[in-house]
Amino acid sequence: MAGLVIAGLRLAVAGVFLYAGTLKIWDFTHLRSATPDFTIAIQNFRLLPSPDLALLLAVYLPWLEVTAASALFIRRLALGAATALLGLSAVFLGAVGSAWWRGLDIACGCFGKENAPTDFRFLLLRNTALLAAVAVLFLHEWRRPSPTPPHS
Amino acid sequence: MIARAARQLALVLALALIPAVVSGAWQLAWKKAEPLAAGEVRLATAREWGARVQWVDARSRAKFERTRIPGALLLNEDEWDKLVGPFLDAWDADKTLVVYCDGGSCEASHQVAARLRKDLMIGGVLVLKGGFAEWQGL
Amino acid sequence: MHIRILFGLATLLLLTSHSRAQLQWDNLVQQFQRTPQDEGLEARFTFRNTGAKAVTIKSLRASCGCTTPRLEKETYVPGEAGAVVARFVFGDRKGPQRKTIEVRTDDDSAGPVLLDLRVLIHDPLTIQPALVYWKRGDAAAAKTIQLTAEAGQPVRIKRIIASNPRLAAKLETVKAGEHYTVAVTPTDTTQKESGEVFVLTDFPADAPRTYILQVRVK
Repeated sequence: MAGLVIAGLRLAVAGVFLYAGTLKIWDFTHLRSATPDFTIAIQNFRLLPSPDLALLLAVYLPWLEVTAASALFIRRLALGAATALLGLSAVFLGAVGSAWWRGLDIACGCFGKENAPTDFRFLLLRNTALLAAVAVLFLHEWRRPSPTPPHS
Repeated sequence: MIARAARQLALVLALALIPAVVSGAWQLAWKKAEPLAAGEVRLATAREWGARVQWVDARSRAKFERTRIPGALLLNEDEWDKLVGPFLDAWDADKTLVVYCDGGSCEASHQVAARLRKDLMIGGVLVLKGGFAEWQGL
Repeated sequence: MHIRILFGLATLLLLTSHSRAQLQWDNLVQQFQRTPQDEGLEARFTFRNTGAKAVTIKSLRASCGCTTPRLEKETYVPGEAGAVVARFVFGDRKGPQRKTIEVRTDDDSAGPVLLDLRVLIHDPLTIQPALVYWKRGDAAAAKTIQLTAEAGQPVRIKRIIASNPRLAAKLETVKAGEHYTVAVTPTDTTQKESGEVFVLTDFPADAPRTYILQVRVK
């Protein structure tokens, strides 16, 4: 039963991050790179000192989401992947929370370019749920014995 | 356990770096091939036109006197009324005017170009994409 | 072990969340209407440090060399008010103008702030076009310039003066105070010519303006 829950969580979390990452890489509506939009979304959070840093993050972060989501299914990488996703969800939650706290009226940029107005309470709830799901996965991987016994 | 997590994390971060670098290199090309706005011209194109181009420097007089594109004429909005007469005397109506300012987000070239087009009704006025910084190869 | 993870998580959250922006600006956008005779203006962008820490303004960057921002001092303690004064020198600019000033502080939680100065430099007389020219060998036919005053603001043209006798100019009143034309005719177009037509008006009454039309044979 617990195994089934973990498998379901793994699928769900991987799905969310694969979906989110892909939409930040490629804009399927306009068939073009989504990096410019994501760069602007990052800059709107006003957390970074330079636009170049925003561009670097806009290029790297989506690939990290996609890679880590895929690596969740690789036994030897699952713990690292869960750690990366834990960090990412915490950072996302922190960014959204701080934007809300500072009263910024901005789009989240979580799933590529969004046009709907931002409902921060919903965003915070969604990100908290995601963080919780990732945390459960992480703890599961943490407790799981090493795939190869360590050399003594 | 921490060591195992850290090792795996480093591996995942590095794995993500591979497509990111490839995509980043491609993005850089995308940045260079950023579409031209209406009335803009790329440096490479203007260079190809060679002597058929008349450069117009929309920066300040001080900057123009320090360094400029060879053959450029000074015309800015700070001293428009004073500069426009000498500018028109030197102007060759058969050449294409290409206006530049510092580069980056500077607006002066667009404003001078708009005024050449609208007030003086001179056709074929273009703005150098990237401005003087592009010319200097920055 | 878990405690350590939780602690790390908490630190991460702390690092990514920030306190409220500390400099509170009263008016980020300021709009003015001026005439060319005003030659320039100063706009005051006032702010107050509403945070709990002192804030130091690191840099001010204007979008145009024509706009110079000024600051009385750099560091503001909590509760202290101050202002960025932007001096915009019009030069020979006309029409709608937008100049911005980027303010950077040591409070890096809330990226740079953009002060936005919008000025309509209003000139009631429109000249279309301000240049007429012929290429050598063109027919020496007259070319016409339209001078139109804005509705509700009559501008009377008293007379015109042509600087080059080989480029003759003739003023015609379509409707006094509202619409005039200047027709320019070169004697011939065999050689290069350069001249100006000065348009003397009665506006504004205290310092009547003279407009310049450019005429060339290239």
